[in-house]
Amino acid sequence: MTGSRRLAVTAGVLAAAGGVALTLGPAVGAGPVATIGSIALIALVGAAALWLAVGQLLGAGETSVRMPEPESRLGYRVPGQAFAATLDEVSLAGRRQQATDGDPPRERLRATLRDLAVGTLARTDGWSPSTAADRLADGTWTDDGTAAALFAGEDRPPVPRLAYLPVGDVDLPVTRRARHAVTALADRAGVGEPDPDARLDRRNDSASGPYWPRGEFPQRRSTGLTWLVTAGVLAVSVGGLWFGQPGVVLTATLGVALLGVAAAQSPSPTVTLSRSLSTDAPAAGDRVTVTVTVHNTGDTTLPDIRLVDGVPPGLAVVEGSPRFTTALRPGNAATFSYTVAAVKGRHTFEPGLVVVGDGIGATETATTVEVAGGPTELDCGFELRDGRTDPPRPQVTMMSGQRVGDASGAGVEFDTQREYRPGDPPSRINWNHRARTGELATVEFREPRLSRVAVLVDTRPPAYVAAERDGVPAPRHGAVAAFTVASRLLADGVPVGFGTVPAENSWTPPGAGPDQRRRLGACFADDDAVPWSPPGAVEIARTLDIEGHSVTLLSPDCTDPSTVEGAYGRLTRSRRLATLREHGIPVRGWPPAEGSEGVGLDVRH
Amino acid sequence: MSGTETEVRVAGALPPVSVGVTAVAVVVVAVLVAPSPVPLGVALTGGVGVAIGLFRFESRSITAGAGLLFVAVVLSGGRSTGWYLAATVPVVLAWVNARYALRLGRQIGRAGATLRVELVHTILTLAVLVVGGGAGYVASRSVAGGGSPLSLALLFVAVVLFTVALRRA
Repeated sequence: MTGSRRLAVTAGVLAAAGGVALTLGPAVGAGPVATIGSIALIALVGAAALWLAVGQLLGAGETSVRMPEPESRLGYRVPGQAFAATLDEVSLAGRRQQATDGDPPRERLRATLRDLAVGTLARTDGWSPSTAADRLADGTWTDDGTAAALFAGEDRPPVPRLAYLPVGDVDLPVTRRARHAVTALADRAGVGEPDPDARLDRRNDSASGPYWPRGEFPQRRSTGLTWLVTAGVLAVSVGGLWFGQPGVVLTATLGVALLGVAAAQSPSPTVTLSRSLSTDAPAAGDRVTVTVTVHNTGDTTLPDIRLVDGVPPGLAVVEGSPRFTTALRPGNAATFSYTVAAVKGRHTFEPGLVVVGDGIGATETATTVEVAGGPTELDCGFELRDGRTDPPRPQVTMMSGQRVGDASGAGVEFDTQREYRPGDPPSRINWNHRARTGELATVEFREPRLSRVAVLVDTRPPAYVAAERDGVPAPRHGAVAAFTVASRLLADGVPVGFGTVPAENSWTPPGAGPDQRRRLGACFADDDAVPWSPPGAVEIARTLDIEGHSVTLLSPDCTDPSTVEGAYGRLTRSRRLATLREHGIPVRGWPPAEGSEGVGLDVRH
Repeated sequence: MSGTETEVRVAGALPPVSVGVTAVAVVVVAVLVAPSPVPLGVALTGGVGVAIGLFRFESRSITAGAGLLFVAVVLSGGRSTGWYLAATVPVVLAWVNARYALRLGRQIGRAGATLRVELVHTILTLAVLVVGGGAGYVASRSVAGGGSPLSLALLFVAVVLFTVALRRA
C-alpha cells in the first residue's frame, strides 16, 4: 500500500471512529458550532468527491483483452471478388441513376464480358472474333434470353422499384444479365454450372496482421469497474447528503465493499497447460482431437480462468471449441477438447492465451502459457513414408544427374555435324567426311550436363487466394506440390534447390543427398518459408532482426495526405514504421521527390 | 473447411447465466419500485437500457441503464435505510453481471462452457454485496439513535476516504 493510501485509510478509520463515538455520545458533538462545522465539512469533502467522481467517469473505459479467433483459418481472398466488386459498383451507379449520358461502370462491365465471351466462344465453337461479335450482338450465341440480352438488349432497361429499397438485394437488370451471361459461358466452356442467383462471400478481409498476440505478457488490466464504482460511490454519497437521505448515502457501502474486494484480490495466472493429440501424424483430412488440461499450480483459488488454446494457423476447428473457462482451487485441474481437420503441413501450436480475473470482474491478467507437456506440433503427411527416404542410389558416372542435356559439345553420343571452325579439336574432325567430300566438318556429341532444378513456390501476397474464404490458400497447396516434385527429383539423384518467391530467407542452393531431403522437409512442411499469411515488410524486417541481422529500413513515403484516403494511407504507414522503431530497428523515410539526396547515408552496417 | 463441415460458433454470443441473472435482478428492482408509477417507468427504461447495452455490446448503455434503475430506487423514496440497501443490491448485481456478460461474450461466447465461472462470479458478487450492505445496515442502525450532525459528516468523510484509498487505477 502506498503512503497516500495508507494515510487515506488511517484518516478514514479515524473519521469512522469519530462518527461512531459521536453517535454514542451525542452531547459532545451537539450545538451550533458542530452543526456549522458539519455543514462546512460536508460541503468541502462533497465538492472534492464530486470533482473526483467526474474525473473517474471521464477516465472510465471498457477495456478487455482481445482474444484471437483460431477457430477458422485466416480469411483469404476468393477468386472472383474483383468481379463481385464490379457488379456492386454497377448496381450502386444504377440505383443512383448516375451519368445519364453514359454509364462507365455498366459499359466497363459489358466490355469486360464481351472480351471474355469472344475469347471463350473462339475456343469452344471455333468462331472468329468477328463472328463471335456478330452472334453476341444479335443474341443468337445462347438459348438463355437473359444472358443474350446483355449484349443485344436495350441499353438502359428500367430499374425495378424494389431495387430502391434500402433492404434486400434486388439485382438490377444489367447485373442479372451479366450473371446469366457468365453462367452461359461457364456452361459452354464446361468449367462448371454456377447458380446465377448464388452470391460470393463478400467479406473482404485479407490474411494480414498477427495471427496470435505477441505483446509483452503478462498484461494486467482494469476492466473499468473500479473507476465506475468509485464515481458512483462518490456521487451517491454527495447526492444522498444533499437531499438529506441517509439511506441513500449508506448504499455507498455496497460500492465500498466491491472496491475492497477488488483491492484485496489480485490473482496471478499461476496455471500450466498440457496437451495431447488423438494422433500426432494424421493423414490430410483426418480429424484430430486435441485435449487440453489446465492446472492451477498456485496456492490461491482462481475464480475466473478464460483461455484460448493456440490452434495452429493452418488448422480449422470442426467440432468443439478451443475456448474454455473454469474456476480452479489450488492444485486442481480441468480438461477440455476440440477437434481439428488436418491439412498437409507441419503445424506448430501457439502458446495458450490465458486470462485470469478476480471474482467480481474488476481486473484481469492475460498471459501466454507455453504447453508444459505433450506435443507442440501436428505433422501431417509431408514426409514420404514409402521407404524412399534413403540416399540416392550410387551413380556409375561422376555426374550426379541422369538427365541428358540439350546442349551439344563434348561427349560420347553423336548429335550433329557442323562446318569446321578454326580452333575445333582435331579429334572431332570427321575425316571420313573429309575423304568423301574434301571439306572439313566437325562432329558434335550430346553433352551430358549436370541437370540442376530449382523448385519455387509463389508466396507473393496476390497468390494468397483460396476456394473458400477460410480455405487452404494456394501457396500452401504449392508447398505440397513443390515438396512432392523436389522429393522425386532428389530420389532420382537430381540436385534440387528450393525456396519461395520472394526469396526472403528461404532459398536453399541446389544439392542432393539426405541432408538436402531433410532441408526440403523443413522448408515446405513448416510454415516458416510458406506461411499461412503473406508476410508484410514489417514482419520480414523483424524476422531478419530477430535472426541477428543488422536491419535498417529505407521506406520512401509515397502517400499523399491531401485526400482522406491518402491521409489514411499515411497514418497506417506511420504506424508500421513506429512499430519497427519500437523494436529498435532504424527506419529512414524520405519523400521520393527528393531523389537520392533524401536517402541519407546513416545505414547500419 | 470450417463453415462447410461443421458450423463452429465463435465468440460474440452472450453467456446465458449472466444474462439471466441480470434479467432477474432488473425484474426484482421493477417489482420493488412497482407501487409508484414514476419509479416503475424509470426502472423499466433502465431495464431497456441494460438490455440494449447487452445485445449491442455497449457497456455505456448498461451503466446508464443501471443508473436509471438506481434513480428509480431513490425516487420511490421515503423508505427505510434497510429497504434502500436491499433494493440497491439487485441494481448493482445487474450492472456487474451485465458487464461481465459482455466481457465473457466477447472473449469466449457460447462456444466454450461458461456455466462454472458465471455461477462463481454471480455468487461471489452477491456475497460481497450482501456483506457490504449488511455492514451498511449495521452502521445505519448505530447512527440512527445519534443526534449529532457531526457524526454523519464524519461517517461520510470515512466513506469518501475509503473509496479513494481502495480505488485502483
